[in-house]
Amino acid sequence: MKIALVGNPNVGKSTVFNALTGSNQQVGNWAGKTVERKSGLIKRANQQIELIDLPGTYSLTAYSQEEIITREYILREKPDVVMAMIDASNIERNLYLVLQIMELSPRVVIGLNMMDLAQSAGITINTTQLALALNVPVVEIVAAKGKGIEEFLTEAIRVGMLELDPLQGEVSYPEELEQRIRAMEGQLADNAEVTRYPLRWLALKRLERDPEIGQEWKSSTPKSRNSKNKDACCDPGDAVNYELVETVALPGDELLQTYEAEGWGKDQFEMAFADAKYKYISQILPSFRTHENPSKPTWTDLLDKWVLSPIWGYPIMFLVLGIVFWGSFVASAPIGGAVSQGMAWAADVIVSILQWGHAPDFLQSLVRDGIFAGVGAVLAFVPQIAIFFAFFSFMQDSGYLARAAFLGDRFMQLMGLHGKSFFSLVSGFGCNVPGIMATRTLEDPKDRLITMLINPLIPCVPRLGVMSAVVAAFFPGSRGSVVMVSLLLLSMILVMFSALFFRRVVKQTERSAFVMELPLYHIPTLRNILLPTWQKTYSFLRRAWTFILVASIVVWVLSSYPQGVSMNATWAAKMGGWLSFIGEPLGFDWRIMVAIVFGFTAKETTLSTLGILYGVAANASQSIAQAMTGAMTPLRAYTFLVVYMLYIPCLASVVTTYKESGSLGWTSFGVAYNLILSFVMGWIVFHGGLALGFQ
Amino acid sequence: MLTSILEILARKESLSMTQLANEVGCSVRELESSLDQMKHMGYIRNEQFGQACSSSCGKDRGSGHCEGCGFASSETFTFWVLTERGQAFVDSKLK
Repeated sequence: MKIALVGNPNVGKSTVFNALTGSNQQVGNWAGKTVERKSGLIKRANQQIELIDLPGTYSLTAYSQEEIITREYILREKPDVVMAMIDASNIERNLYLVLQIMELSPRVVIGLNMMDLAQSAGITINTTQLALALNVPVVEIVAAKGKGIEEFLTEAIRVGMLELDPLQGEVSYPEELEQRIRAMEGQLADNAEVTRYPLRWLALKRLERDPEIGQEWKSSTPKSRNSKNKDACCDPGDAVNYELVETVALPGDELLQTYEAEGWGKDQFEMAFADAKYKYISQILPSFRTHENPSKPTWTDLLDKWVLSPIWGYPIMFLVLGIVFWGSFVASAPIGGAVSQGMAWAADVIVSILQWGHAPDFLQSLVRDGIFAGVGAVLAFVPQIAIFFAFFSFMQDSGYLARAAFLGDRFMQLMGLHGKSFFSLVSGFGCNVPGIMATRTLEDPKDRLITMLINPLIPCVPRLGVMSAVVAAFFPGSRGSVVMVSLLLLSMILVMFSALFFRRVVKQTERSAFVMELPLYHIPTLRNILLPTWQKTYSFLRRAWTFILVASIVVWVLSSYPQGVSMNATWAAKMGGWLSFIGEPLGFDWRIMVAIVFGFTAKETTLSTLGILYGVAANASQSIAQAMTGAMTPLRAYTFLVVYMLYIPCLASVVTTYKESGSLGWTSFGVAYNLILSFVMGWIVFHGGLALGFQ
Repeated sequence: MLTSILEILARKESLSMTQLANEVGCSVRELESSLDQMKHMGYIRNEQFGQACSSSCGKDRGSGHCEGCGFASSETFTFWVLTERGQAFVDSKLK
């Protein structure tokens, strides 16, 4: 007796095979394939049984070697019985294969494995009802514990020894399909080849234009050949077609052509058959499967009803962001103040040491007015940035970040942005450089280009850090979180409209949608919050000691020379003066313009530059916040924030855009677009604010 | 059910698994099974979108392609999209 063991991958087939065959196994490869072939001999009730462990597969189409081997074995070797193993905890997926096996073999026994897992998940399966629904014997087993395996084999032997084939359940297809199946059966019935296969199965495969079946017919039917030779060829341009051309007509070809003309091609049949099987499974499932509290929604379901709601989802998202910023400002205020004072004290101590050592004046000034004013200004905001990172990590680990991204995509749909583009934009919230690189996953070059061009409008973490520092200085307390949320809202609106604009410029094709797998909500672990918070803060600190230190020294030189002149006559002031034609209409003094220019190297340097130019360390009693609020009005600060948020992220992002787009023209266009948009928006905000009576 | 899923995917609207399951009228488990089968048949594909940074970029080398990776989120998004074959199938249904 020959028994084939079939099932989905990881269903526990090998465990059953090993338990039944023990050491009496033969292992090799299937002829001409790289797939392992395992068989074993068993002796039961004076019967010598060959058990074949067929490769794990989800279906019996012709898309993989495993599928072809499995179905070829059942078709050609005709085992006396097929032992089909299914996973009770994922029965929907597994029954699809069982239904296909039942179309191939009249003798099937089902082994229902992993009943323990199903029960622990609150799933109960009534095996008697399952057997009745399919008209196939079903045996419960727990393969990992060796339970039910022997009974499974005994039942298989019993079915294998039946004199007549039992009547099994059969998937009934919609009538329009059944008519076509019957017509195809009629065409195939006269063919000698058919005796080798179950007629209905063969008809289904012919309608699906199964390539393996067609191939087999070609090789088993005498070939009639038409040859072309040079003399017979009338068309001089046809000289390459001298090969022999096979003209094997397969049974049912004419019928297939008729159906094709009716709109029933390969894909239509294949999908309709699969669809009918899934429909059949969902029809019979309730008769044998019960789920404990099936209608009881999980916490994730309940929360998602609100969080992903097209109406409530967005207010909730902005509320969450507001809480994140409010928490960052409020929690960090005392620590930030202490760091500022500590930096001022450290500057005093080091300068005192330098004075004691008779260090030259320029060195004392460099340390106090350059390094401590610049790097210190940035370090004072590290607690705030770290707390922001902690909130961000909390959102990510709790499962909310994925939902915010999902909501964001729906927001972008209005502007026809490609679904996947949004994920590049989400990366841009971390840093625009990986955000721009993430566009590589977009197949359409136009989609890629548009996403690259709008990515700089997303405020990256360093930008958010500097922005929150300025916001904390000018808009203390809960006002700060409202200002931050308003800036993010402005950024999202501009991303939308820029996408719309670029679609017209680049002539992008239609967007495509997707179905997203969202993680379950859960309470984040402390480790999952602290570790990424530390990694991001560490990155920020490293940049403070590299980029920002160098930039601070350069800005100090520019703001200290020529020696002996006032700050307003230094090289930095002259440089800022050249840009006054842009800055003045927005209410910016030369210091702001110089800070914006230096921000081009790395966004954090804006803060260090402001620290130096507003002479923070020169007056140790005041922080950068106090120095800035003394020199700028809240309206000018808000205007600065808008310009700062929207203009080019940094040099690295421009270089990355050039590398990724390969076009200097589009890179320049992107830079120009960002600059013009930022200053135009700044002008609108400043003059709009003045008109509304703000200062 | 499979055809309905493809038709919904062809709409220019993104959905979560739960939303799609509700719309099709099946459980998420049944939906996952159907999506797996259609992936196998080549009508849809499963994509994972993570950040562009390699694992060695976690500590911000400050140059090359690792620039800014220290700030990037490690969030990975998994989603299903129509393949060309799937789109062609839906188009033929709409004709």
